[in-house]
Amino acid sequence: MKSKHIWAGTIIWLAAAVALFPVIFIAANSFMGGGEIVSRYSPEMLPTNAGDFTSHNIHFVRFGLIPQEPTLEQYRRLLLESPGYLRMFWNSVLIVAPVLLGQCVLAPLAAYGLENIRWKYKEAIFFTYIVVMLMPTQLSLVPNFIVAGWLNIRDSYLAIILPALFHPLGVFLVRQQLISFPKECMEAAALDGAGPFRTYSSVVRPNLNSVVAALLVLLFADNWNVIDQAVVFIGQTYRNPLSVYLGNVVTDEPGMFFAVSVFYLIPALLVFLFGQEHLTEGIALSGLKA
Amino acid sequence: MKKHTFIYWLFLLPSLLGVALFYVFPFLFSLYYATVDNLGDMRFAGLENFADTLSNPLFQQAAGNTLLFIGLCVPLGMVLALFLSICLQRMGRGRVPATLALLIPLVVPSGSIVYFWKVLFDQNGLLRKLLLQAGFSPEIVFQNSWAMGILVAVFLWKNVSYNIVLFWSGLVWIPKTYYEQMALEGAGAWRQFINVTWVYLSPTTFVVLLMSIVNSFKVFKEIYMLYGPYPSTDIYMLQHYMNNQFQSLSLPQLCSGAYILFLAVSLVLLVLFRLQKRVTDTYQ
Repeated sequence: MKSKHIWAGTIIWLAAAVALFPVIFIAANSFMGGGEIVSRYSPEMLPTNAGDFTSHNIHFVRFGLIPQEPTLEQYRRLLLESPGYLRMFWNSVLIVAPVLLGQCVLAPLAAYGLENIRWKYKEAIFFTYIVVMLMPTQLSLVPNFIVAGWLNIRDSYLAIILPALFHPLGVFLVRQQLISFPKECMEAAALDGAGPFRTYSSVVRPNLNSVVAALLVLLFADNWNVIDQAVVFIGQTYRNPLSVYLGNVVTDEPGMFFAVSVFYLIPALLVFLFGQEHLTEGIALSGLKA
Repeated sequence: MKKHTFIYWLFLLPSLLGVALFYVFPFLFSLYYATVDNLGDMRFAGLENFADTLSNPLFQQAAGNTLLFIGLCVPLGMVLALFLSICLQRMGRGRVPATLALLIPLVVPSGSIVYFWKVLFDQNGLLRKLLLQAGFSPEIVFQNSWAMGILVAVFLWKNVSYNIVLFWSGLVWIPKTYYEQMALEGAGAWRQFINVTWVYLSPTTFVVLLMSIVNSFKVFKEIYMLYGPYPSTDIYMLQHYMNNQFQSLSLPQLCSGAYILFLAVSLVLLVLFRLQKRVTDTYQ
């Protein structure tokens, strides 16, 4: 029995190391100077002749975790000399913040309403929400794109924010939680003379804090990494969220890439560390159970 | 109680209007765009656009690549996640910090680690160097057909932990006594897995399968980060096809493509829902 534990533990810790390694690599390399990065990782000197493909003719990357001369040069350049990156970071905040705020107000309200209305097609509404939720991004981008044309908000953050704000994931998650909420509590509140609004604000909503937190962590991870929507809607480079532009930094300014990446990673890691339990809860709830 | 029921519509209304305005209504309306001709005079063209899209070699290539990718990453991701979630259940101390580490890829922005994948997988990257040193011939090491494999690896790194959590939430519901009963009857680990874990986990397995297919479309982020908007044809996916239609502003092409994709995805989901329901009804 004991050895089984050890085997399982070893495999899990190996997997954990694989999961962590890329992040450790990026963080460690962010203390290298620009010159060292170029000399280590530049893709030059590949033989064009297939016959030369023997290992001593190829300039392979010199993979490393420990900088030869640790320096804060990358961070200095990022924070003091590169307003463009700070601006794109701010663009990301401008997109994510309204989505999170809107979802955490609207989703519990809507789920509460949906739970309580009496209409024979009410399950059809919920089913529609699920279908919309499950569609691939590029597919739901088509209606988003058409509406954005009607409202004349293409090339504006609103074209990304508004659809994300109304994305059905929030209502779905909260409702999954509400189904198991004891009906007696709501009825007791009603007997005490509380109307639907009072019942919501003093009985229901306080009990939804944990699922709303789960929703916020999931939405943050998703929207902080927004790429597809920005590629379609946002034209000018400097208006893009940093999540999109990171792909250009890697080729345009490799000497700074690691610091920019760490910079962009930090908010995601902070949200994760504070909300880790909520993240697992949110994922477990998001699994559809028929 | 009953007289209040219309008030609850007010709670639902903002969300309902938003979903209708940004998703449902324009999608229904896009059927109109999908059936008018491409020349701008909005003449009804029936199913012409659908036929054009389906016979477009680029669309066929994209559909084939997408299917190949789903066919590779969904089963691999599920097996890996099931294995790891069972290990997680069996391991002794340290489960909490290990889970924390396993979940990190889910929140790491795709772009933040793109350099790592490049250093690992590029033509002069670490992996090829190690393969050469291990004695593989240069012809194998430097052939170009690794792109899809690289993509699967990058995608699995980021998304397997989502499945681990889903499997884990199914595993904790299986009563310990079932295993003890099997152990008393002399069943080994494999028999226990087949007769207890696999059976009682099957409703969860369908959930994971469904979510894996849905999530597999998110690979666009990784491809975009690694290869930009125009990747080579062997990893050109339906997502790229759709994206190029956005850029070319051809609504009939875009919308007919969207409807084809919608029908395909809906069909798969419908079949899975049905199967899941049947399995769930059998075991619960």
